[in-house]
Amino acid sequence: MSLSKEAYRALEDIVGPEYVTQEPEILDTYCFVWANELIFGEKFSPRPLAVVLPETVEEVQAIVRACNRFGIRYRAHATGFETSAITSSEPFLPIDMRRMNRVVEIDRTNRFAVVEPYVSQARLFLETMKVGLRPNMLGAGPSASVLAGTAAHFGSGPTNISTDFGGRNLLGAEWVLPNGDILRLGSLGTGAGWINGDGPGPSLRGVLRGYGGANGGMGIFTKVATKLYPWYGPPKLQPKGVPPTYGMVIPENFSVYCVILPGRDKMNDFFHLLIEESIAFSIQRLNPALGAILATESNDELWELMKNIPEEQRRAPVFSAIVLLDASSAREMEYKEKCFQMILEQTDGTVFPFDDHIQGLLFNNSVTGQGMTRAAFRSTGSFIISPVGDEAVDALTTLTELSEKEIVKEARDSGQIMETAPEPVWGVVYGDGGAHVEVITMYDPADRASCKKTSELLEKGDKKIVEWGLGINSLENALSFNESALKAALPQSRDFVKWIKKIKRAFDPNNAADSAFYVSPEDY
Amino acid sequence: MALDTYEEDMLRCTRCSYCKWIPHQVMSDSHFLTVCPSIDRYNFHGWSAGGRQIAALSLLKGRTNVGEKFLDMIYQCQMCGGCDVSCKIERDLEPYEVMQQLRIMCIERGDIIPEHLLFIDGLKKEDNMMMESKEKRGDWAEGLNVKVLTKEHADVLFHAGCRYSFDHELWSTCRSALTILLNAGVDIGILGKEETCCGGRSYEMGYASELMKYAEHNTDTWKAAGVKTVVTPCADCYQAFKVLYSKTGQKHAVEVLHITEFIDRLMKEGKIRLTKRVPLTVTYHDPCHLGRLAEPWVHWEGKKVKVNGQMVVHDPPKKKRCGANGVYEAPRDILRKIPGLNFVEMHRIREYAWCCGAGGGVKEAYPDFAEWTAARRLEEAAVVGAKALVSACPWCKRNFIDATPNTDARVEVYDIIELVEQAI
Repeated sequence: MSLSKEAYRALEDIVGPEYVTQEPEILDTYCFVWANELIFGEKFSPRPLAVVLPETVEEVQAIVRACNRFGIRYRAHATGFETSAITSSEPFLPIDMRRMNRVVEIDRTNRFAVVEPYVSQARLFLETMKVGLRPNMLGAGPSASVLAGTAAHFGSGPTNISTDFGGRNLLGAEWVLPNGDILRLGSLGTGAGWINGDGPGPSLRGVLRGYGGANGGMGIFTKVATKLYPWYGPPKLQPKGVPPTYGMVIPENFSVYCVILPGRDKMNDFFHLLIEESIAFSIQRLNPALGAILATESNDELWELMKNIPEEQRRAPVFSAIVLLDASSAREMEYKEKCFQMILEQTDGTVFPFDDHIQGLLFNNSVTGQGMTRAAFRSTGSFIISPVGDEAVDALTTLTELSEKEIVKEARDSGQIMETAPEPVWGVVYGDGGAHVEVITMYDPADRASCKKTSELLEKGDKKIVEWGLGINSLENALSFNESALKAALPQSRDFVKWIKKIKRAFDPNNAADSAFYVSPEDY
Repeated sequence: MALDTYEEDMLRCTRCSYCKWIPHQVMSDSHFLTVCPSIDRYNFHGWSAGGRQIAALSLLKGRTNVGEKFLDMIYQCQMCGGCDVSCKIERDLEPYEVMQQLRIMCIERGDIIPEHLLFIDGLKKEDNMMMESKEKRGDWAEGLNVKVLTKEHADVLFHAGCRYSFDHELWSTCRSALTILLNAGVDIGILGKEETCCGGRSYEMGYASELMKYAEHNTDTWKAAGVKTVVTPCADCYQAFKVLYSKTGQKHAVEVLHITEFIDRLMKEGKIRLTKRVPLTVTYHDPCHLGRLAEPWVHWEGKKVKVNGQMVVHDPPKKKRCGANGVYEAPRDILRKIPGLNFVEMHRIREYAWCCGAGGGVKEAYPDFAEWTAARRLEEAAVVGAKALVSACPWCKRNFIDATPNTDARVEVYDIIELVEQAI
């Protein structure tokens, strides 16, 4: 695929010459992203055809129409953090949405916010705290795009117990379809505002994103409405300390706990009881080592702590969770604390004794997702998630157990990935009893042997999760490049694959929206 | 450390874009969340620290060449270091050093910004970055009864710096600074026309050899003059003397102080008293070279090793420079002690302050961008209710003054010395 002079001129006419480029040195900054080395054997994926930065929905529509007219494949991204935002197997047109960065509306009464693509969750949280509300927070951290996590990508995060995941928070959407038509989703489509994603008006949330999100393969979202939830904290959080380990003052009526459970079954019970009692602001299945990672300024400092811990202790299995409780009053907090203590008693849980500073760091992590990138990236330089599951709580603890035995242990013993305690996972639960879990592998992107071992692990994850009957790997498609996970799951999922390909063909007859992390229109 | 020694850092950049924002923990207003003027102004990812890591790798791998656009991408950046602070919250990488070494590599290859070359030629000929005659360097101090240390001895050397020496509009501030110290009884002198550039600004443009030259020259001069302390009202000079000279391995036994540190010390010793009211609401702009970039250099020799499988650590352990150890309290202490003055903070301060726009060779090569950046800062000052923005660096002040017509924000611009003078 190439970009003709005529096509480039068309893009220039739409956004102006300042906001489109074909300069190779600039294009190289749009084909480099984490995990590229696992797919391509190097950091750079194929160089894009051009990069364009629109500012309005009209410009986006005109770009998409031009792409259809000139046979150019395109994909939009916000911050461009995820592999699925930027990478493709052939040159395409990245549409960088950073100029569309407005918080359009915060409706306090009806509890929703309307945002453009480049509004980060940190920014929306700052705005909503002022009116006593908060959005769903993504595990990708404060810089992640609210719109991407709501409309285009999976959107799991620490607060899912109280907010559910991104897809469940989508209300209205302004959607530039793959062919350039504009569709206004839900009640927005009948002029009734952003209040309901299912109407009156076109109810197409399943088509727009399905469960996992189409990762750009179904066109471009220029505005979405996302649900907001009560925030019982102050209008502004209070940081303390100095970088890189800024602390955070825990506001009144919030309590954070790192809980250690005596085994897998008790951990399952713990999650079930917390879901049942609806007392938590956030829950994450995480190793207490997170506290040490957040509290240390560097790997050097972390290793100085770790190396003195006996190896058998470092590698002992841990079943643990970080839990944040919130309440609207001291009285409600008292009730929730009592309830939480009863759950601990029933599950033989104990609280890991972190000091105030680390509790402040864990609070910040639980509220904003801050620190997950440090935990995932700092130690070795990069990480992947595989297997990834979305299932019932018990099924996912089975998934992590099987992953440890059949995939991760061998890789860890090879020395080519980071050594961790068994079952290195990040998991969250939803209020409806579902859950999301990611098996974390940290590898060095500057080390070929480490990359090779990690690629093998990724491939195994695609196959094994199907073998175990636990769904499709990477349902969020973050690393399911060119349908690798779907192909592995084909025997069980042929119908699902057939239908999403039909939808893709219907909505994108010219196959213009790049689908490297969704589905191609061709049947297998 | 040559650029290629940072190749693994480049490979470990994950394009998270944290370098574009202030640290998320300290965000307080949704209009002031970003830290990088370059990406805010030019938008394409290459105009960010993350983008420049990729550009550097692309160059090392032979994927791209250095052309005009590449140079714009590299040099439309003030080297303010905000990105480095934000990146290091999450990562053990050195984005600032990659950008610095990339500039040095460009110069070594002969890939030069023509506008910079004019200033570098001037520097080589006249020992200053203002394209002025070195014969006029001491003119700013004419009429002041001060020792000239090429002929006399004093314990303290007052180093005016290039901007104060040649920017006539700022001379009164520089003269006030020296007068305040003289009146406080400090045994102080100047070098007059024998003073030279610190070499810091040329280093930021990538001319590493010029820094070496001036580091050697200045430290030799200090030794010959027998001074115990060097005090400067210029944040750029301060950072060069304190951090960059140390980075180059230039050893000296002289105490380096910024004027704010010295005044703060003299106030605590009772030698300067601020007694007159200055009824003004002001905010303080942290100069990058006095703040995050002034953090002492960390000397370390060793190697990177892997432990715990693939975890990357330094052997021996290396202290991380994260920007918190700059000069932040001394200027604030001074302002808080000025009677009648109402001091308010902006949303981006200390290690996560927004840059004035003048650094990194931007003022010299891209003056519009420099003023655009300063205008954003003036607007931030106005938003927090300040009637005046106070800085502690002549480059900041010059750029803020130049930017004033580019914004509706009506904010007066002062150097902190001017307020101290008013309060004495």
